Amino acid sequence: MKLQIGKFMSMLRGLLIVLKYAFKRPVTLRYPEKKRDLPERSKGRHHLTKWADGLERCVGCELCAIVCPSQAIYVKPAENTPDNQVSKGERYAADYQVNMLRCIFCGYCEEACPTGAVVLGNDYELAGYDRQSLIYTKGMLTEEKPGESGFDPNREI
Amino acid sequence: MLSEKAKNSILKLQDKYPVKRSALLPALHVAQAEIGYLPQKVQQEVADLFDLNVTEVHSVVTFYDMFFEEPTGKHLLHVCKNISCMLRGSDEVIAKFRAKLGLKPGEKTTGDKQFTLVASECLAACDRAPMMIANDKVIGPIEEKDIDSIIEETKKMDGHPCPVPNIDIERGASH
Amino acid sequence: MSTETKNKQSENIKQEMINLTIDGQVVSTPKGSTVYQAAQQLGIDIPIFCYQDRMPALGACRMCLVEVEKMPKLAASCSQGAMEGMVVHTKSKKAEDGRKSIIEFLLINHPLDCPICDKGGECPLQDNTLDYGSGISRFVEDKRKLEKKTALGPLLIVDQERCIACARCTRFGEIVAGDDALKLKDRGFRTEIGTPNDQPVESKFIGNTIQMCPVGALTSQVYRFRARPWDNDTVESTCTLCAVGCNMKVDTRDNEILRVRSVENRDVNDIWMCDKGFFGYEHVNDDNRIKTPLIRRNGELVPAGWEEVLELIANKFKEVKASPKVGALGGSPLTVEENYFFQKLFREVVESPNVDARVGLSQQDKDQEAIPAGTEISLGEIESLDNVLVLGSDLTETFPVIWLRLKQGMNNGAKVVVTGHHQTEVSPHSNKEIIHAPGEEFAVLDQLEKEVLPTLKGKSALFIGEQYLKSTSRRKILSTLLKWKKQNPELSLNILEGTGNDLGARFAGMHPAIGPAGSDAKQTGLSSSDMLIQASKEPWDLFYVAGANPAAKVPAPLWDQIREKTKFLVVQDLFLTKTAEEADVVLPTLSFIEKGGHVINIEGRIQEIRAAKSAPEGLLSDAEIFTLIAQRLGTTLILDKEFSEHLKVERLPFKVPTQLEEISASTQLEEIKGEQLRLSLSQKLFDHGTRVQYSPAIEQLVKEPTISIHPEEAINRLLKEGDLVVVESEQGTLKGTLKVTEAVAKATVVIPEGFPELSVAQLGMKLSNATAVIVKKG
Repeated sequence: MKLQIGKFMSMLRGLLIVLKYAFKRPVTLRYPEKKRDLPERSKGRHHLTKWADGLERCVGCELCAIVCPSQAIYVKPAENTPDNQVSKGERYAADYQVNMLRCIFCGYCEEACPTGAVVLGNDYELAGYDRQSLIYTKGMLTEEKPGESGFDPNREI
Repeated sequence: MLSEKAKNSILKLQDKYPVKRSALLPALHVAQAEIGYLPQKVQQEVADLFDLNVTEVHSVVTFYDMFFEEPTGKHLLHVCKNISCMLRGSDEVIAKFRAKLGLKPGEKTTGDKQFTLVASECLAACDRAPMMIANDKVIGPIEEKDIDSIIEETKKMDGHPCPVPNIDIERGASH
Repeated sequence: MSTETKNKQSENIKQEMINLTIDGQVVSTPKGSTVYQAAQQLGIDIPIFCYQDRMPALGACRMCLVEVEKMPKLAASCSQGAMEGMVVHTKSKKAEDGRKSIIEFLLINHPLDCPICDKGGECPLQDNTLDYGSGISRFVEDKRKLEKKTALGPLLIVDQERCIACARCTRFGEIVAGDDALKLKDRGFRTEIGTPNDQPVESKFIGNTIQMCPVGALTSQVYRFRARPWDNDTVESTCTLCAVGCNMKVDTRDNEILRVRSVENRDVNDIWMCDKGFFGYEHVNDDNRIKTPLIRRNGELVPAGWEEVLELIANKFKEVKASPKVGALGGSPLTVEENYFFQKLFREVVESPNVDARVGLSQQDKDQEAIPAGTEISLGEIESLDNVLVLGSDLTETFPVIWLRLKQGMNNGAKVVVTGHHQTEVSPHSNKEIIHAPGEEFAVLDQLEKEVLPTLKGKSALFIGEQYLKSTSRRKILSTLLKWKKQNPELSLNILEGTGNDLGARFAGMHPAIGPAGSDAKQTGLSSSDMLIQASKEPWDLFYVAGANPAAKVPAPLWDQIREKTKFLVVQDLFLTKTAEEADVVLPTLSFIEKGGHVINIEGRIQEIRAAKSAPEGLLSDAEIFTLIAQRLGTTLILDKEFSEHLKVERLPFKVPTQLEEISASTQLEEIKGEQLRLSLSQKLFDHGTRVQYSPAIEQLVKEPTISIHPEEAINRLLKEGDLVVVESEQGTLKGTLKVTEAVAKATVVIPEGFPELSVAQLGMKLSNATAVIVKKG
């Protein structure tokens, strides 16, 4: 008898909790109509940033590629020429790809980058209908105007 | 560009050493005594006389302060910059010389081609630090107030044929 | 001199051992070795920069500092001799602090631009800084600013800021290559490496310095900013661009060859390679390669499918079966297996005995040839020789790495006597040199027999090269040398001739008189020159050319006749050569980097080549093509078990007969009449052969070919340097620019082979050294 009362009470307690939350604001959002404000330093999609003078920060050193634990980054360097000065110094990334399917957003690439070129922004809406579309190419990753991705183009490394 | 006389003298020098390459330094002095400096062509000629690659001759020429790849002024001023002289103020002496001669940064020879100033490696007279060699005269210890008179005295000299005195092209280098 | 005496000393006391303690472990090491070497024996790692175990220690960088008890200061272990009872600490506080300071000093003027430096990821300076450096620098002042990139020639880029003045590269040029290509300039903190006025480096071995540089000061222009070491897929293979057969690593990324590095093999190339090996792979990536089979329709070569061309060739083979007018030419760039299939296809399927891999000049029959190419000693043994006679061989141009090994032998005390028709890069290093006109070989041999032969003590070797071998008196010369061998049993005979896989082709049986594995051919066929001469006179049914360019090897009018009389010409090659342009069917094929198999080098060593990248789409290897053709004719080509057993040995035996019998019909040297000079054919490492032509980097190293004569001959003929001259032989003429140089013997004219713009083949089919020619103003 005592046991049955105990069971009934615990059920009642559970229902009470449900009842209490029925009148509270939900923690979930009505995505995609509503989007969550993320902390500034949360890690989402990559950007390749530029210096204030418009030159690319990336020098194609490939440190991001070797540090990446899921081998999601591919870099192909090339040499700057006077007619085609892409970055400061002698070397630039002729090709830069991030495979978003592989990326685990650990941010090691950002940490390894000696010029602060690759940064992880707050954009987390990374979905696609095929695999090809989720390999982000250099054109997709590079910001068009310095500072466009929300990172100060004058920041020191 | 070397005269037959100089070439012969270099060949004679080679005989004095068990390995002919050892005669390279005196040979370069002979060549410099004749031309006044050692341009690329002369280095090549000397290299050919020694069956050496010109890179090796060039390496020797650039190593020593007493060989010049560019034409020098009439008078040569070697001021020692090595440790004994440096500790006793050769830096100031060199700076004063530069100012007096009106040498711009990076310049070695004055515009009127009268003086060439070389901040030189050890000139082997540490007891007289800070010291210098003006043409072939050893001067030291130098004080900053002497500099004007040193320049005046040097002007009266004949100028340098070559930094090594008394070179005899007939017999090869004197030593 | 000093190294010589040092070596003599170390020989005398070789057996004496001394004991010392390093980090608490006792080690016994031969007297004369250094602390570093003793530590290596124990497997103790000491960081180094300037020390390179192929060269004497220098002690320039001080990276290898260790603490030796009872010594007041830290000692550089690379140059500190090991002594009895020595107690060494490599990991004590004092030693580690010392090394930390050295790293700090070295980095003071190092730009630390690792992210853009090509050495990054495989840089000893990076590694040692990580392992032994302090991690922080106390140097806050400005670093020195120097020239960031100076191109010294088409291969090398120097970054003066990164140089730590370890002198590895300059000492390589001085000690190993003997060319003094790079030198230290200036002194003290202003020291730079380079050449006078940054002129291009004059070296055939500059790739080695790129590989040896412990920092990113010397980098390759070809590999510049292409990849990091971790991007590359590496395959070990063998270089087939000359007959030395250096072991190499091929680095590829995204199925593209990025660079070639040497692999240590003490028996062959040690750790060296020549620039042709380092950069000659570039033709593989070239866009001019043939991409599909081509077939001649209405006089034009047009692309066709494999099915069609193979069917066509198979049908032609059926038509010409057992005809005496069918020939197979070429095979030097092919593997042993492919050559085996090639000759089998012709001997057994087409039933034609006319197979020959030797396309070009002076093919001697077996009697004239007497002894084929090969070496008695292995290439590794060259370093321990006491006496070497180099007879008529231009080592740096034909067997470049053999020269490096010989130079090491000279550093170890070997005496070298050189003879030849002209001076070579070996000349300044030789102890005695005889320059003589072609045809005077016997006088020179007599002189050597009297003056040099009696003085030879210890291990001695004869290296005989193409100047003597491409001669009508080859057999007589070799017979003289065999007599020397009888007198001095320690004298080895080494015949240096040929290129690529010539030995492999011969071993596979691509020779009119020799079958596979050295057996006698069942039916002797025609040699390639005999085939071509015959084809120029009467109709010829079919030529099948693989990896050869006969059109460039015979006089142009003769080739026109041959082409006219040949009913069907098949060419199998990488590029559209002159022969391919005139073929009826052209088959594209694979380069040595895209296929596997075996090759045989000059010492008869059987080495493997491996595919470093996948084959370009739609291309088949030579072996596949031969098999597919045979299939269509109802035969399956397989490698006989018996033959493949032969490929399992390390080195083929090189049999030297004890003596050669005189052949009565030995040819007499033609008399020189009036103005005539004697011809000497020379070889160049960087010529205008197909492979160099399509390798952009080394193509720039090719020097304009010239016709060279001695100044006296020039004066007699009123000629001067740079004149346009005509060389006339009985069979043809050749136009070219004259070079007047004392390096050439009197009464001699030296003309290089391998240049289409100065095609010595125009002088006739059966040319040999000492052929009489006239040189006059053109």
